[in-house]
Amino acid sequence: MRPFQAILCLLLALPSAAAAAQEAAPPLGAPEACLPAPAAASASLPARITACLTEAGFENVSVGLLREKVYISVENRRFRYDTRGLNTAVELIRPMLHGYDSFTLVVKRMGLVVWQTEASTDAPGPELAAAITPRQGDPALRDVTWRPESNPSIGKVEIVVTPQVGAALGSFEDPVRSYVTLAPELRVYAWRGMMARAQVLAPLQSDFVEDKKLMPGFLTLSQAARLPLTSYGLLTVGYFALNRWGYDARVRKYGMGGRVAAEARLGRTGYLRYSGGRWLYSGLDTPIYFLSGQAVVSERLQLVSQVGYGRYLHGDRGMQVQLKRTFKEVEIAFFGLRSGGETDAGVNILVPLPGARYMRPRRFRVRPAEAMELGYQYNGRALQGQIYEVGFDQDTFWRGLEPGLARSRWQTYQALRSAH
Amino acid sequence: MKRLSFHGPLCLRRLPAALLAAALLLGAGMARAQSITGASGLIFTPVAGAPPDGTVALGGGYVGGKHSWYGGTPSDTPVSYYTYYGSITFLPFAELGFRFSRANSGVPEALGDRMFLMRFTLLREGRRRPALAVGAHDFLRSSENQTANFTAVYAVASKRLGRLGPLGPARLHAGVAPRLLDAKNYQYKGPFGGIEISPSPYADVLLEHDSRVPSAGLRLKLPLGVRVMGALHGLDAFAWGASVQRVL
Repeated sequence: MRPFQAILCLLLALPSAAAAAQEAAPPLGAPEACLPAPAAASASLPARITACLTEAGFENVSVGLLREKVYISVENRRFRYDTRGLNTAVELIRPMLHGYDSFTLVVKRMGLVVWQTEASTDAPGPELAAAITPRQGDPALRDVTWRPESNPSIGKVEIVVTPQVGAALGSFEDPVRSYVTLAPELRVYAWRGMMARAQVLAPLQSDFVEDKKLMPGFLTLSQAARLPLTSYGLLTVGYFALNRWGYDARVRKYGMGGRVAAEARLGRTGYLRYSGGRWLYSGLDTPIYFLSGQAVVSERLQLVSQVGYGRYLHGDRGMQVQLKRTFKEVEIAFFGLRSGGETDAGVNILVPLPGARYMRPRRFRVRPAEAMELGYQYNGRALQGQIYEVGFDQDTFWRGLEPGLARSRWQTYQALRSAH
Repeated sequence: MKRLSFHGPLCLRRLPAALLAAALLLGAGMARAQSITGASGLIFTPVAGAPPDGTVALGGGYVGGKHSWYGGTPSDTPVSYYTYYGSITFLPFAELGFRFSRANSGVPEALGDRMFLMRFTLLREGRRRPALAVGAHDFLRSSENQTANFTAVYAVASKRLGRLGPLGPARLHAGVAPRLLDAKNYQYKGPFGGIEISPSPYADVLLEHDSRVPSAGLRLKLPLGVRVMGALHGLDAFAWGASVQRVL
């Protein structure tokens, strides 16, 4: 099969595969509401809200009435676009909160609190994200965070299918070498903040001889944790990209309401490759580190800059700058790096895949990946500036819920919704 | 030798089919259109200003060999060549993109000569003041400049002229491209300029001098953001371009 035919087949197959894995999403402008359940009137307010959000497919739902205030924690794995998921949750909650002026929405990811916000009960519009701050130390927040949750994400398993396409410069006889790969992966969420991944790479078409059979992809165990002082840690161990194994630890500290962040990455890796039915490996002989800072340059434009310095995979040290813009669900990041005497530049693009709303998270489900990454690097074969990917980093953890962009995302979504 | 890796959904050897598919899938019409060089402009010359924020453009074109200076072969005999490109209005004032130029020389080559392009709008157009932009093409260095075939650093101003009687509204563009970077060849050499006249909402007449030769062309503005252009490069060699745009 030729590359273009394979890509076309994949693109044609994706919507139907996504349709099989999702439920029909309502139109963008349609308001959400819970169906009245039998005996709903006699149930307490927390029980009704919990039942409503759980029925809608939200996870880690808990509701607390504390000092005349309502605290609601929720995690979205139902909608591809988190802002849409939160909007749905707010629309479901509002009609039930008669007599309350506002409520606190606590947003979670992998069972961990990522931020909270005050929301009005009567006014639709862009006020939701007006007070975003990853605040800690609030006793009421602690209470709603740690009370038993309805529909917990813990103990669930899913298979996420990701397409991968790529091309590289080949020989004169075959100037473009390309591949189209399907990468199904098993994800297990065994406890709060934990995710185990086992990925298989199944080439549909490949001009790279060695890639024509099933190969292992990421085989990792990740643990995210909320640390003091609005910091978040992420540790990943296992088998990574570029035939590396080892560990990778990252800590990100947010400041100024999430508008700025500093991150430290520390890792140690060795060679590991599956070939000829056996594993070839070396010890953990390569340390890497990377220190970076990022800042929201323009909230309105959803523009984030990042500057970092570190030690790369082949021992070279250098710095990288990046400018990333978010257009609804599309992310485009231009980057430049200088390391080991070499300069390089390129662009990374994140494109959402079909499937705006997935099946309700159950013990087991199959769904397409939220997005596909595309990249172009001017000097792609250079060894300088290479660093191994672990498949799940802080950017992935925060994608769609970046606290510094939440207000802008909310406003953009409301404007889009009004237009519909 | 340039090194390249490209990850993307398009198979570049089948670009026409991909462009056709994109044209069928993508969105509504735009005010601005891409030149054959990849950035928004007339036939070859750039204009001040950029498409609306977040506009992505994919396109390609063909330049005949008579006035070409691009060889793409060791002998470097100028030949006709194809261009294909992608660009985005990354910021309201910044248009960024890349382009491949593939020589029609019969000599096997990979994707072709590649280049980045960028343009920044310094001044928006006012009632009396023209819009002003600066830009650069093919500014990254490799292989000791042997592959810098389309280098340019330029400043350009654009101003609406109002209606030219029955010809319709017109817009005037003028710029200059000094040789600020070392390169094998330059896209523009000195002053350039042009005029676009819109006798119909669906068509623009383009007249320009790209600092080498004058050219004339007609651009059709079709539904789904598709723009198709045919031109006489040097007034005697055929060139064409097509692009499709969508706002993210």
